[in-house]
Amino acid sequence: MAISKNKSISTDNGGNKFLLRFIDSDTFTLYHCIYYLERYAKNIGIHFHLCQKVRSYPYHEIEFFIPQLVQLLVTVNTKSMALEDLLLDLCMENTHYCLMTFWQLQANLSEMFDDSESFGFQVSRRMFNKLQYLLFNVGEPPSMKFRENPIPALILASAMAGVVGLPGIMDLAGPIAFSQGRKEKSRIFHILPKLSRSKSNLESSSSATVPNTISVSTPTTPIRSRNGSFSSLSSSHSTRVASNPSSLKPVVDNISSLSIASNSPVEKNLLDHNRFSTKHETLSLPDLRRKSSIISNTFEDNDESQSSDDNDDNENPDEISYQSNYNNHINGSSALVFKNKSFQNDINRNSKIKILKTNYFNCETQFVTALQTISTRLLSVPKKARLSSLRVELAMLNQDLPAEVDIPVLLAADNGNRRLGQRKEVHHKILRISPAEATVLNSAERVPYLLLIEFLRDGFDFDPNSKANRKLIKENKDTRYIFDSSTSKNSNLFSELASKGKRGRKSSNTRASYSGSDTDTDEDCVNDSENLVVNKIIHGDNKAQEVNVLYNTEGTDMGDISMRALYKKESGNSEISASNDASNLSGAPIPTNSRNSPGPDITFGSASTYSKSQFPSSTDVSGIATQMRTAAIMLTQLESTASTRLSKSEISSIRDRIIANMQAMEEMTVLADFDVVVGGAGERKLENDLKTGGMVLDDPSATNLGEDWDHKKERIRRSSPYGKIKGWDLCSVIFKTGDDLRQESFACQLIQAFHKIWEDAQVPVWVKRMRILITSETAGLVETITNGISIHSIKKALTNASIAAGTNPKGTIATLKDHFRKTFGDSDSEKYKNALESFVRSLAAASIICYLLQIKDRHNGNILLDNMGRVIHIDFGFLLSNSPGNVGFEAAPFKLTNEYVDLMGGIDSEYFKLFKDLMKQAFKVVRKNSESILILVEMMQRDSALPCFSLGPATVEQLKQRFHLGVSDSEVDNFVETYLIHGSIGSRYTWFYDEFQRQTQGILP
Amino acid sequence: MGSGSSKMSKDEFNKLKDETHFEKREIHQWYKGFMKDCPTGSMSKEDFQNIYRQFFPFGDSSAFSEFVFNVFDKDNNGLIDFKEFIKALSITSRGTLEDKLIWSFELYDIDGNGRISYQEMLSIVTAIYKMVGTMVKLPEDESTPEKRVDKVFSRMNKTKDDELTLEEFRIGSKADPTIVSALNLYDGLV
Repeated sequence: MAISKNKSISTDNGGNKFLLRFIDSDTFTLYHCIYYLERYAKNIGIHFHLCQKVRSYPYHEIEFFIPQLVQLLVTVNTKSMALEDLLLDLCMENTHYCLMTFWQLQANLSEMFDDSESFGFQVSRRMFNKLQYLLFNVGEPPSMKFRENPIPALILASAMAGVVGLPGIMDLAGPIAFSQGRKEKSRIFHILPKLSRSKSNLESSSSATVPNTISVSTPTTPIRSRNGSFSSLSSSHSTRVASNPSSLKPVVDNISSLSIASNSPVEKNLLDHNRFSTKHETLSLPDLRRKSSIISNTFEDNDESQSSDDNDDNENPDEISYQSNYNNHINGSSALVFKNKSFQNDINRNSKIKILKTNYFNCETQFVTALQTISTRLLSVPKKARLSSLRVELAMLNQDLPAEVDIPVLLAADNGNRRLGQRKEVHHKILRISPAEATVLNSAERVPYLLLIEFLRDGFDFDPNSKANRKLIKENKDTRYIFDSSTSKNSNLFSELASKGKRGRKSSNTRASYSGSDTDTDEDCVNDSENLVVNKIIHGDNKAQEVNVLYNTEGTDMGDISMRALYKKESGNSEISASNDASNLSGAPIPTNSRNSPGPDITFGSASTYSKSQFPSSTDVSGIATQMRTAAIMLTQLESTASTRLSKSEISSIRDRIIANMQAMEEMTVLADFDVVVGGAGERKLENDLKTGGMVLDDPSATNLGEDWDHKKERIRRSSPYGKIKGWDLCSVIFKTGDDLRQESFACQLIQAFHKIWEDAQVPVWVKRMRILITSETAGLVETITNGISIHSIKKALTNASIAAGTNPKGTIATLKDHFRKTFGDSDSEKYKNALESFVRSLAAASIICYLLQIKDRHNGNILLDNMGRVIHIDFGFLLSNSPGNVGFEAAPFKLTNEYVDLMGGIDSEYFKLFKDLMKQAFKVVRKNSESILILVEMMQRDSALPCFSLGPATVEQLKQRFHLGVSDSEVDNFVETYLIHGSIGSRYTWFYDEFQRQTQGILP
Repeated sequence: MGSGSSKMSKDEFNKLKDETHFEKREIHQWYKGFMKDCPTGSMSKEDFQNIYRQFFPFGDSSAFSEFVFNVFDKDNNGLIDFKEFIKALSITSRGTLEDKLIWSFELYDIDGNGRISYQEMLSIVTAIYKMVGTMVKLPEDESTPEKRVDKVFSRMNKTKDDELTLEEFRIGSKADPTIVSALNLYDGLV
């Protein structure tokens, strides 16, 4: 801290007493606390105290603000270290915090690549490296060392003088002095220009190579590692840390294969670093990868003109001491304590917990990376074959399940209201993902998909003494490659194949092939092999025999083992199996598959052997997966090189055959396991319907709401090998890539805030809380709505059904009333009335939220009804200051169609009166708590590029105006009734927008 | 000593090495840090007091920071220079308990006569109480500066009219476990 002559900082001593009183009062909410963290960021003492205050709130309340905390960390320039320390403590305390902070940082990091000297980048880098240690046990423990910061040193020294006067002075001065004293001197390093070279690369893999310290972290960057395999590099093995000459070379190998030119600054940095490193030369790379705590030498302050042996940073106290409070730090660092036996046991216990946590973090991040990789892979697969590919990929994932994996936020065990430090963490455990129930949500450029995840409630924890965990610790399995469907253990299959086929080297290439388009490095190498194959297909002498050509070609680059395993001609001419080792793989009788197209049949020889096994073994599925991927590459190449000699019809015939066979392969993996396959590939549905957690409208005549969630759950439970386990449960999520989910996530956060306001005030309105977990800049998991379906689809199904039944010759669009009658019975029935009341309660809440947040694009595809009659809004692409086309089509305060009013029984009905009353109540309560909402928006708005802040600071001003805070409570009733409700009923704007959507998108009004 | 020249000579570094518990390299690093934060090579009382306000925003630190500044400013030139800083840091972070007590004695011996009067102790304790405000929870028998000073004096076997010598101050403090543990709290971490 450069000492400023600036006296403006709270010169009036004691003037902060009122602030302190407020902070320590009951009315001081976490909202205030978070908000003040920004306002008082410049004041080290206040900032520190606020960070201490955060720790006093319950777990789930703090979790809600993780996006804000991370944003504060990276955007608010401060000299205070308190927030960084707070986040780190939270991350050590709670594994979900740790993951969420990690992902959130990752999502933010790519934005900052342009400005590596910025405060935000520097602080992110620091935080990232510390998290690397917590998560994956790579790098080194966060240093407890008091660095050369004279100002906190002065505070510490001078406070010591006051000890005799009042020993308690140390309780106040010590922690804050230490927090500031640990601060690293800012060192500016230039980030590799190549890493920030293009946004597009970051989109598929938000990556960060963080120089300066040696931890190179590229959490989700797909890279090719040395053995040529595609490994979606999750941070665990990303950090092939080089702190010594012996391990340097592999690192450089890896890094240069990371599409960074080998003369890139990173490598230079590493080399520079290396010169300073003399210790631990005996450590080799494998050692570094091990889970044992690594205390490797660092290169802190290597800008010093010092000799390397001066470096004593590995004196850092053991990381375990870091996990406890300050007193323990001190104890932990003194040699005396280590002689103490009970302390030794503590260390054992703590390091066991660390093993368990690292195991969880490895599994979890690998799991998410795998989901991301699948999505990327699917992108290169033609739409028709995507579902099949997805299911095979999921079957692959299942090979590694059950594992210590859950989904923070969406699939989180209830860790209750407990405060930090009081909790033993328990997590759900994912058992299996039903491949047959997964669905691809086709959209133009991205491939989101819906998963039904079977899990075990409270399935695992980090108690080192439990039986299951003792086993885990004992085995201490290497989970860094778990869920990595393209490397490691699957390579066993290949080596098996290879030894049979005597083509070991080539086969390993195959594994890399699918990842193709992701990175530059991959492309070079993969393209060669792909082109080779496809060229052979296309330019083969005998076009009719193109596949045959493929078999007979001695591929040099492409590992053609799998191709051989993949295709086997049945027609008899040129029977390759006779001359080829691949016959070993396809020795089993080849099943005739009805889906196979006529002509030169392509069938998957090796796949046939699986169809008989009840439960595909690991090698079986991965074999098929490889074949699927290879087939997918062929398809892609086929389409991209479609210009050449083959005619269009020939190409399409080849393609159809490949797709048919991919589907056949899928059936072999999936059907071996299941009798039921729901929905066919390629059936295009409105994406939003699929967001509903698998409500399938296959048979509209049966029931409007498709399959009931509970029913579906029961069906899956019965078919699941884990269904009988006590605590089995099911959840559905959508994995999304390509979109920036942050706006959607922010909208959900706001809605959650509304929910809490009403819940606390006991206003009987109902809001669906939607949750989103962001895992990178462009990927995340979205909660689905079970038991709900869009109004559009409801109407469509009803209308179609009535037309089919001949009762609706004019094709009149069905109404909500029709739906309610059909679903809930006669309008006098109890069931109907209950449903209608639910409708009203949910509509009131949704109306207030839509008005205040100006949620737009409210056509019936974005509004769902659940099986209780409740309204659920989804899709928050437009809110606050942006709207579709920014034209202001939907100018009514909110959507209140005549149809809604009719359903409620008209404006004089009791339900409409209930609606009005609830609106008034809800609005009044929200006004009282407007601060929370305004704080969230104001904080998010700063420096935000999200479209919903297109008006800049005016965004929050306009929001504030909509609360009408100047209007007295007695006038509010009138305002709600006249302006809000009557201004919305049957609005021509609403009607017009629905009509517009009907004409352009076919969405029913 | 002085604020004039900010560059330290090699001899000066060597001298500091002998006079402190720091290695030569550490001194260099602290020097670098000090020059970064205080580019003029020294820190004025005003700077010092501003820092105190930053770190203790919820109380009035002005009196305490003034008193304690004088303990650092050995040559009474109104500035803390690097040598004064590093020596104080050496004692407080790596010195013995004895060293620390001798060093802090100067804080309470305001007039520098070698003895601490009741009034002197009360001035310091009052300044500390004003600074920590409500941030530190105090036992009932220490709820006011007077109570605290009475307690200290009675521990050290003195009455209001007596004065504490350095000897009494040292022995009395060492007999008080809360003082000892507070003084040793951060041993070895700097």
